Amino acid sequence: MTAHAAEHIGGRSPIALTMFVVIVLITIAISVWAARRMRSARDFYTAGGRITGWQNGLAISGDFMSASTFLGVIGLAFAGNGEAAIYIASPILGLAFLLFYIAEPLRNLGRYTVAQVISLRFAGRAVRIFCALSVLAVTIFYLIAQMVGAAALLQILVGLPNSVAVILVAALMMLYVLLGGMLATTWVQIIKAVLLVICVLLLSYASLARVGFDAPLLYKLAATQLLLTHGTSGATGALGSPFSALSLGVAMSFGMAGLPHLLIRFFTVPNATEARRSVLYATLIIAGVFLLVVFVLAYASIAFVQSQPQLFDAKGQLQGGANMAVIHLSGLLGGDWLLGLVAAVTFATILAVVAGLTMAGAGALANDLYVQVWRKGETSDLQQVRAFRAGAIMVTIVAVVFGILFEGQSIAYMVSLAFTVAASANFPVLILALYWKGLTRRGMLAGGTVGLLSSVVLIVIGPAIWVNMLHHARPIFPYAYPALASMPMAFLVAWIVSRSDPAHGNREDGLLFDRLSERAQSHGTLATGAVSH
Amino acid sequence: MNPADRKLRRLLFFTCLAVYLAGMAVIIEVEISRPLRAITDAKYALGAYCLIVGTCLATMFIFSHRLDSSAKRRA
Repeated sequence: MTAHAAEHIGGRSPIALTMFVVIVLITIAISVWAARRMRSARDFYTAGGRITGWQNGLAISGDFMSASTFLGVIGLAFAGNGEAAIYIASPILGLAFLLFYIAEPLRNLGRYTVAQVISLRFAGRAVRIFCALSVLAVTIFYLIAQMVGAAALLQILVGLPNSVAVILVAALMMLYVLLGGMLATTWVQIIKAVLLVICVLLLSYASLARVGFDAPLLYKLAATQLLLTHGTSGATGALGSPFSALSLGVAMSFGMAGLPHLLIRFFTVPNATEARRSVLYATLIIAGVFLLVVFVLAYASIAFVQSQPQLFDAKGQLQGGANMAVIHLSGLLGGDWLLGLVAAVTFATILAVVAGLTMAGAGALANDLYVQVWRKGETSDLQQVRAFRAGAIMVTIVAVVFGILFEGQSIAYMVSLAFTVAASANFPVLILALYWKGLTRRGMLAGGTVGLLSSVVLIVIGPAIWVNMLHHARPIFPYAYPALASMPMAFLVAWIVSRSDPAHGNREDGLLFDRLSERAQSHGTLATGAVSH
Repeated sequence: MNPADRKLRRLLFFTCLAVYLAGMAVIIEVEISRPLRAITDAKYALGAYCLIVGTCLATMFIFSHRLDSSAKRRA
C-alpha cells in the first residue's frame, strides 16, 4: 500500500495515533533521563556495567525480538511460508550456545566492543579493521530490515511516504543514541520488551477468545483458509530444499553468537555470573513469546485476516504487505485501542533495536577504526564520545539509503541475511579466538575475510538480490540462504592458513592464549571487571 | 575451566543440538505437510518446539548452576 493508494489508519483512528505518539514520547523521555545520568565514556558505551542479569536478560530479549519476530515471522506464516518455524526454533539453540561458550569469556575479557576481545590475542590494525568491517556489515543488514518494517508501519498508520518514514525513524534513533548512549538504549529495550510481552499476551488472549479458547478450532480455520488461498502446494520457502532449510537453521542458530548488538550487552553487567543469568532470562522470555507468536498469532492472522477482503488491495495484496498481518489482526480483534497499542509498541520495538544496532555500528567505527587504527589509542574520553557520535551519524545515513532501496522486502528474510553474515564472519573468528590455541593472526584474518566476503557475495548473487532487485533472469548462486556454504568455508580457511603459518605453535602465543583462557573462564571470581585496554 | 566442566559443557550442548535436530525434523515435516493435516500436526510441531525449548533451558540452567557453585567454592 502507498500513502496515496489507501486510507491510513491514523486518519480514521485518532486513538491509535495518540497511543503511538505517547509511547514514542515516553522513549524519548527515557533518553533525556539517561543523558543526565552519564558521567563517563563507560557509562555511555556500557551503561557503566551496572545492569543486573534480569535487566540485561530483558534487554537481550528486547534486542532479539525485533521487527523480524513480531512483523516478519507472522508475515511469513501469513503468506503460507512454513520456514517461520526455523526462525523461532533455531535461536533457542543459538542462545544455549551463547551461554555455554560465549557469554562468560566475553564478559571477562571485553570492555566496549567484541573487537577488543579478539585484539587481546591478535594485536594490530588489520585485526581492528576486519572486526569493524564485519560488525558494520551485520549492522547494516539488520538495520535495513528494521527500517523497512518501521517505514511500512508508518505508512499504514499515518500515511507517510516510504522515504519520509525512513528519515523520521532515523531521526528518532539518532536522538536515542546521541542523547542517552547505552543506558538509554538498554532502558528503552527493557520497557519495550515488557510492552511487547504484554501485547503478545493480549493478542493471544483475544485470538483464542474469538474461537472460544478452542485451539484446534483455530488451527482448523487457519488450515481451511490456507487451502483456499494457497491450495495444496506443500513446502514453501527454505523448506523446499534441504540445503536452504539447514542453511537457514545454521544462520539463525550460530548467527546469534555473532550479532554485535547482542554481544555488547554482556559488557553492561557487573560480572560473568550476571552475564550467564541474563542469557537464561532472555531465553525464557524469547521462547515464551515465540511460542505464542507462531502457535497462536500466526494461525490467528491466517484464520481471521485472510478472510477480510476489505484489507486487501485490487491485486489481492494485504494492505502494507504480509509484514503488516499482525497489525491488521490487532485491529480486527481489539479495535482502535489494541491496534494503536500494538502499532506503537511495534514501532518502539523497531526504534529500540535500531538504537542498539547503531550503538554497535558506531562503536566499531569510533573505537576500532578511529581510536585504535587512526589515533593509535591516544584519545580522551571526550574525543571518543565525539567520534562515536560521528560514527552514529554515518551509520544512520547508510541505513536511510538502504532502507529506501529495500522497500517492501520481507523483514524476516532481511534479518536472516544479517544472521548469515554474523554466522559466517563474526562467529568463526570469535569462537576460534576464544577456544583454539592453534589459531594464528593470519589464519584469523583469512578465515574471517573469506566468511565475510563469501556470505555477502553469495547473498548478492543469490535469488533475493540478483533476481528480485537487480532483475536478472536467473541467480548465479541458487540458494537464498548461503550460511551452510560460507560458515564452513570461514572455519576451513582459518584452519588451513593457521596450520601452514610459520607462527603456528609459537610459544609466546600459546602462553598468551593460556593466560587469556584462565581469565575468560574465571566464573566471575577473577574478573569482576573487564580487563583494561 | 576444569576438565569436568568442559566435558559437561560439551555433553549439554550436543544434547541440545540432538534434540534441536530431531525437533526441527518433526516441525519441518509438519510444515511441509501443511495445510492438509494442520489441525492434528500442529500439536506435534508445538510438542517438538516445547521439547527444544525445555531441553535448552534445562541444560542452560544445569550449566549455569554448576559454574555458580564453582565460583562460590573458589570465593
